[in-house]
Amino acid sequence: MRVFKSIPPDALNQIREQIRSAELPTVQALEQAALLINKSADYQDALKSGLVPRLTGDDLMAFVERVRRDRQLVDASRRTNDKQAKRPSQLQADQAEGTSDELLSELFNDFMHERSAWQHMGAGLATLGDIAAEAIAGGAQVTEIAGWLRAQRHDYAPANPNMRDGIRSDRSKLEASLAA
Amino acid sequence: MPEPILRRVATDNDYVKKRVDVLERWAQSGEMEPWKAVLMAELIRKEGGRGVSMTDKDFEELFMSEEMVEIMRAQVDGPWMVYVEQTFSERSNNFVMGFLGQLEDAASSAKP
Repeated sequence: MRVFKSIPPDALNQIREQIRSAELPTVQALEQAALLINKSADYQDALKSGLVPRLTGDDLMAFVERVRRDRQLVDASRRTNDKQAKRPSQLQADQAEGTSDELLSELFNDFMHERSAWQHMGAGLATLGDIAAEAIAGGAQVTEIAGWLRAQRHDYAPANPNMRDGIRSDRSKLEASLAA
Repeated sequence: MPEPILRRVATDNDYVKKRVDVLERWAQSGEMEPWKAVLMAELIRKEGGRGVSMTDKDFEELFMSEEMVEIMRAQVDGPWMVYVEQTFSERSNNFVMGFLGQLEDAASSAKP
């Protein structure tokens, strides 16, 4: 895991330990990690200087497609094995117990561990990805983590709507001056 | 006579020319930051007289084009690479959001 110089050295490890020992609810612990990273001067500097490495949409799309393919293969293989080994009533019972959810957790875990993707998205997200992957491996619900990550990504995405709004506003001024 | 900041293109029609003239004046007088004038001129040129758009997609297409970024950078210094990085990040973010949504849907529909 990348170490941020501006984050107290043991702070992230402490959060990981809190997740492991279930001392804190997973989402709450992840929120603490996000706060630390978000405030870190390293991450802010990386964003401001444009040094956060770029990831093209095509790169990510290729990765998502690969995950989809893997998922279909694993799913098909599991269905075949289940049919050979179990009666239909057992299959239904397994599904009710969340077999599909386990599969999703495995895939989501892989997604988190796709180092290049996360690192490209920003160093802070790479760290969060590591912590979230550990949380899932430790039994956190994939839906819980996905929802949390959705919120985090919204905050972390360094888009700047203000610039666009400013340009649009100037454009209106330009059209008004031409009409005058 | 100061050197012009904004480029002129032979294929510019009257609609574009009029607006680039105003933007040039604003950039020279300091009424508008020169890089913003360049950005707006290129967005207007992209419209080509088809009317005001400036959608998020228009901004994205401009910053995702290496050729256009070079054209803007050659006209004036500006935070071009910051906005290129932001556009890449935003686009990636949108892909990831879609993927997370699919995961959540699949996970919730897997529950009885």
